[in-house]
Amino acid sequence: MKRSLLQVFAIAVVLILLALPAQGVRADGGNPPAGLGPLGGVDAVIRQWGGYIFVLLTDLVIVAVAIVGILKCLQGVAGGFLGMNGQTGAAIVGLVGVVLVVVMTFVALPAIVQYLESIRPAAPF
Amino acid sequence: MTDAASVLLNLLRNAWVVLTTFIVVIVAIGVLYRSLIVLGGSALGTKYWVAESISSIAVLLVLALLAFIAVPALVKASSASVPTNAGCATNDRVLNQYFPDANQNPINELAVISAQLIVGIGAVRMILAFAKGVTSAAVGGTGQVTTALIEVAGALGASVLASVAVPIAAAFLGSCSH
Repeated sequence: MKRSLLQVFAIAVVLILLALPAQGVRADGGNPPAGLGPLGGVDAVIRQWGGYIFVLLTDLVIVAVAIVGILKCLQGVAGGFLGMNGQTGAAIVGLVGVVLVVVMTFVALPAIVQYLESIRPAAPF
Repeated sequence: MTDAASVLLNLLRNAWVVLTTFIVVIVAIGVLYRSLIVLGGSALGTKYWVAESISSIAVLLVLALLAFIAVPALVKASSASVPTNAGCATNDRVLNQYFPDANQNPINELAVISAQLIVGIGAVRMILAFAKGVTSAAVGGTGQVTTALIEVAGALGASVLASVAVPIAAAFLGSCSH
């Protein structure tokens, strides 16, 4: 009983939290986006917050690529300087991985998301 | 009664749209998150992190494709199996006396509404299960993916059971008294 009440309370809090910003993101001042019904606000909130997190993570990837790239370059230079060919090879492989991550993040991922959006099915019932 | 059913179906359709949007957003964020782990693993030289993240990205993409291609096909197949009338209700003498038009027959109307709702709820359960599975895969869980797929099977089983239950319930309630 207590747990059920807590669950109901938690759902109510989540719904209120979703509804409050939904009022702010609606471009037409309160009506849901065209083609969407009562949950249109939730859809807009998911897209908005998803966009924020996506941009944040993209920035983090850029920073991480820079740091890892420099680390790998240092590893390669140090390996070459000390005659440790294994370290130089590992650094080159790491740099290739960094390039692949950049391609994945900035070329493949937008294409994948666009493709998923294009095949996103309407309700089949 | 038809109006109430259309309101409920509209709500379920909206839930479907929201959940599909959620899946797209989680896949995008999950792939980025896993890319960051790949970079971290590459910097630290931990092959396990890199391999795990690459497989997680593949799982995310496969689950999203399954959700967007397989689930609508499964919903259409299950909706074809749920009967849209109670079978012998239109042959009932008492009902036909008061409702000569078969479409106005309350038993048939209830059967149509319940069939639509069964299919709608089943579809939303399936896409919800996939949304849970995608979220779980994005953060590295595997148990939830299995549970989600079991839920999909459960929703399908419920639809098939409903196809048997509706005519039996109609007969049990006396609408097939001829």
